[in-house]
Amino acid sequence: MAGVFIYADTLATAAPLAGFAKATGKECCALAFSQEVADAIASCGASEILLLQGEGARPEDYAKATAALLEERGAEMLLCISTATGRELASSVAGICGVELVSDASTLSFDGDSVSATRMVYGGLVEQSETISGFVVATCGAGIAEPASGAAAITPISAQADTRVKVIAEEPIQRDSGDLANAERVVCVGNGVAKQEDLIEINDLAKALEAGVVCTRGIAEERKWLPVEAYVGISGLNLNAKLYLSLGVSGAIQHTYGMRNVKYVVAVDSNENAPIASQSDYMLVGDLYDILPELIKVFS
Amino acid sequence: MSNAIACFKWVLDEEDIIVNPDQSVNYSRARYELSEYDKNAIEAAAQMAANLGGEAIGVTFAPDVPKQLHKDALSRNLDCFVYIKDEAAAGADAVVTAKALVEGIKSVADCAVVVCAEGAQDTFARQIPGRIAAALDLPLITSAASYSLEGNTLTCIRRLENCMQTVCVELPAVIAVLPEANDAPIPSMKAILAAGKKPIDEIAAGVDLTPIAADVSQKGFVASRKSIRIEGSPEEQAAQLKDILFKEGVL
Repeated sequence: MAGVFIYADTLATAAPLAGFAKATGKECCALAFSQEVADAIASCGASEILLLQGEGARPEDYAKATAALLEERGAEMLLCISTATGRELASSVAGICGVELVSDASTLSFDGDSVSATRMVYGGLVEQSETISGFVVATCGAGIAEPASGAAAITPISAQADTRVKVIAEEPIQRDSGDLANAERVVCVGNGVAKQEDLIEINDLAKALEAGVVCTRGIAEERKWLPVEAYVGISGLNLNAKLYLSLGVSGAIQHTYGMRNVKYVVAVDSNENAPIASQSDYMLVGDLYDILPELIKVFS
Repeated sequence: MSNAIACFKWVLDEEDIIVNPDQSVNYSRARYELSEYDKNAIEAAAQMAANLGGEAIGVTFAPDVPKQLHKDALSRNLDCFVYIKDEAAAGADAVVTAKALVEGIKSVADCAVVVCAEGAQDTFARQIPGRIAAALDLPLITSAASYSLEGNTLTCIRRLENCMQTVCVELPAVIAVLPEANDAPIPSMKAILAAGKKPIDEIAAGVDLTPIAADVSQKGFVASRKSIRIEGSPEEQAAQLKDILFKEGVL
């Protein structure tokens, strides 16, 4: 059976990938590597769920088995969700098969036997389009297509796993601030914020706006004021907020990539020529230490 | 086996890339620099080489770049690097890049570990580590937020979407580190001076460098934002913003 094979480990992410596959008019088959995930995604809209079973504890352990299965079935595409696991599986399968991998595709479409794809490069500054013939691997977010639905049978397949990488422990990530990527409003802390104590006042503003607090990569990874899960950008969060209000964010392209889906961008910064000026809907130019207390006042 | 390899890439500094109003892209003023994330990969390889009692060896597939960049890479605790110099490297796809890097890695004896960044600053495609591991049939650990080496056992904590996953592997292996995995130091003056004396092994790729994808085209991204400046005293600015956000239905 040819067609599109998808990998995503939750129903919420498998359903849009199946939606993409079905919209192409091709057969859609979903891959799972544990009974639990197979059950969870069974109603994603794929026509069959293939459950690869073996000694492996992780989907990544089945890269070779997946590559062999896809070759045997004459797959036209393997589409994985852009998670750490999905990306590793995709890159391993692409490497084993020696085929192209479109990472974090913005758009994908079949044109006869070839696939047209677009993705962002240079931190989101440039969109690259390309055409690939033959079997292709891609990763994408859940926004690639409308979700499909419909139950499918689960077919177990015994598979050889690569168990050289052993899992010792898994610890859930505690997200005190909730789902920031999907928060309705966010306040973003940038390098223009001088002291860590200023976060107290910024939190007051966030509270008044009922907003989550996010930041630039520098604030999370260099100054370590906020957890790495809170930074926005190409290697971090992709926001879907209605309002993004930045304080002292200059607007480097890697950062602003993560706020492209935001409806309204408001920037507070002392530099009227900062890149954020052209990346924002509204800009308040001035000393953020003069403006911040006023914002807290009006929004409280 | 005691040597640690760091794969690294020189990328065009996107701050100097100009997107024209017609969305065409002008690279003529952009200069190469070391991909930001590779600084962490090099530091990780240097730490692992010190632990293993071997050398930290860089491997890069790149066109001819200014000598200053060679020195910059060597000043970051690399003992030497393998330079697969080919003009085809500029804009090469991941299939070609991985093939060339694998040739560079194979040229290094006693390789215990290959360290990569999770992705490169320009393409951020996050696929080179997987391709290298596949080509060399080595175990792979990606998204490493931390790493530690005890004897021949590499233990990493991976950052997954909802959990931190601790994994271990016996070397040799390929590992992709996240920027949070270490603090890449700024090279000292001593390191910069020493860099000039470190060897560079220039080799030919010796593999087919024909890209797979066809009809590759690019267009610049232009933000469609209102870019309205709110004037007045801080008090007036805040009040105006509140009115606007209320009217826009954001509040």
